[in-house]
Amino acid sequence: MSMIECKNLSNNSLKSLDFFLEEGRVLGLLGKNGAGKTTLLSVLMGVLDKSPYADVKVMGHVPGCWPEAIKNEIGYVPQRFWGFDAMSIREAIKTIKPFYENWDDALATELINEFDLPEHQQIKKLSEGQKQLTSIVLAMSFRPKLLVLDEPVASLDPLSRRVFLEKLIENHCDLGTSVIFSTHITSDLERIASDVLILKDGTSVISGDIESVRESVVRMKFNFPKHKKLTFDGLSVLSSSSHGDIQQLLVDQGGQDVKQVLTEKGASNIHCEHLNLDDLFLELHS
Amino acid sequence: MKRYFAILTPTTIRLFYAWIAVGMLLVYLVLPWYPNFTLSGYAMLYFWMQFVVICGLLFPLLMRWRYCQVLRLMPNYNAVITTMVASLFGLFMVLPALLAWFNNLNIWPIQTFSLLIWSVGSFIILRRLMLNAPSERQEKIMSSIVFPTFYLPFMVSLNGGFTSIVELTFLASIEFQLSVVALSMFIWLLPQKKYKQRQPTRILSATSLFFVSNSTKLVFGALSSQGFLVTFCFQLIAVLAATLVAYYDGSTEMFYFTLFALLFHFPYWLQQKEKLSVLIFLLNSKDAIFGKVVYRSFFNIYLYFAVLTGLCIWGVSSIINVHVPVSALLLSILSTGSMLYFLLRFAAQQVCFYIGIAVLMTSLMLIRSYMDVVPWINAALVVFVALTYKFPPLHWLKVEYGFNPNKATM
Repeated sequence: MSMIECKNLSNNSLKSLDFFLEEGRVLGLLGKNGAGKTTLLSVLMGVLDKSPYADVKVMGHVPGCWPEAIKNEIGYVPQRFWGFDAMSIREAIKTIKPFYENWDDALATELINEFDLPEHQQIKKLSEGQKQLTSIVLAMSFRPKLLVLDEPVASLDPLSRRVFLEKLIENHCDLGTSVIFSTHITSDLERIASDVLILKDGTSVISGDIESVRESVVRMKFNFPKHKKLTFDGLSVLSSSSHGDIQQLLVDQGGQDVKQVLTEKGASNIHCEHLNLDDLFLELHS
Repeated sequence: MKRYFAILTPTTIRLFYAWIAVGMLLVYLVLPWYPNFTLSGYAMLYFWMQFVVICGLLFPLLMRWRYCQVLRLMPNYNAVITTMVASLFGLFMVLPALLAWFNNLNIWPIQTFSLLIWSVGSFIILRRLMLNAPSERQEKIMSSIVFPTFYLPFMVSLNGGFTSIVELTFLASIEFQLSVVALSMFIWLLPQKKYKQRQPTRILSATSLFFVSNSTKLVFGALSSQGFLVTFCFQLIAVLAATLVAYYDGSTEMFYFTLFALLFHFPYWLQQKEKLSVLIFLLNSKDAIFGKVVYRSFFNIYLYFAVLTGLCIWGVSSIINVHVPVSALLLSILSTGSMLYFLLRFAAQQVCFYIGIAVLMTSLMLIRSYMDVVPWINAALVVFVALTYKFPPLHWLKVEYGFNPNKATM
């Protein structure tokens, strides 16, 4: 079952975006600042505006038009958490708890303790990182089936980040919760995500199973005669550069024997290199 | 049912009580200046209820509903809010209107106007809620149009020469709803000013008027910012005005409540702005003075303030020949003292609970037959104040600022 179906999503920031999130999968969103990550998540949560996105379905419904029972299953951590400033963390929990049937008090307390949050402190007096963690506690404690996290670790210190990831894996990923989260930290993504979607200028440049992406997308370095013109027909090239007669391509192999194709085009001294997500991201945006 | 109580956040509850104070101020300082206007205790209670419900409950609820993305995704939240708003609207707007109509009181123009204001307010709130990318300019224009217009029916009705108390009660209640709704919107849309801490040395010399300890001078110096002085002056002027009103109206009852309204407001204001800056100042200073000293300094300042106000009231009332019982002064001073203590020592809910009791007692006193409870309230407050001095609120310092009394340099 698809938790999220997104077909041909276009607006001011996004261009013809297609992707799916299957039940139990963890999708990491990567992209430069302004690539459209937050816009995408806002559309999915129905908080951006009331424009109709008929081809976007979250848990089987158009965003923002969920039956109340479905809302019970969606947890959202916005990029900026507000609305509870005057309350302490405990008071915020007291406010939210009666609305969720599956609220897990033990989990909330565990998270507060693990994150070392001052539960009786007013939220407006917390640091940005602590606010972020509070938002995470509120979103995770009712054990949603779909968790949408907009840069949840942006303001966190390495220790809190680590604890958060552990708790996310332990309480959600391992129990079959579908998660979609945006981040700039590729190591986090590699640690917990099963799928990746890389956005560039509002379009999807790479998407799919993270292992397949790592296998499929390669950096090819080769020599190519200066007098000949290199064409990319028959290849799925994501980026290219050249220094003298040395050419460099980022290619999605897609089951093709790229080495063979390049040899046929006249390339020599071909080196194929698999990249981690960090390098892949840099390569795409260089 | 739990959900309905859950959405009453501390801010909501604080506003609920803050508006009681503002309501009392308006009712007792503005209305009596109009000729032919008379007040009854029951009418006042009714006013209060309306203020409190509309401004303390309704607006905070709508504001949170509007702002918070997380809340919008909460299951049944919209239904709970809608039901609550509709119920409050029905109970405090429609029901009084029906009662008035059944009693052949012609209040339809004002009700219509009231509904109009509500519609405009709701439209703004809902629009911002839906778009989530509000146009501040549009709203400010809207509120600047709405805000002055609420005075129109207010003036018309009060100068209309009505004689029936019942009719006036209904009319005035609706007028106040309008004014407060508009006022709330106006305040809500104003940009929040950031508090600027003044150099404590600047006005420190003012403390030389008092025979006080050095630590108290330090705190008082920090408190003596421009904002504090403005509030202080405002309070004095208002108390003097209240005394004049009491003279004009011949009712000491009115005087009690004006005083209460003002004194209610003081600790709230103190807590929100000054307390923080003073403590931060002290906690960051090289000559660290913590814990009991800080708290007791606060307390001393309060006592100076209260005694000074009391003396002013007494002095002015003697000049204009209005009898102000000493028990009334004492009651006001002690009740504010206990309020300050609650604010410093307890969590917001507890504070609200105690303020609730105080308000209830005040309401009871309003109805003259219950005036005999006053000595008991006084006695209870004396006990509270004594306890306050004996057990300073170190717990509060620890919880709110991570202050550890065991490590404090005394």
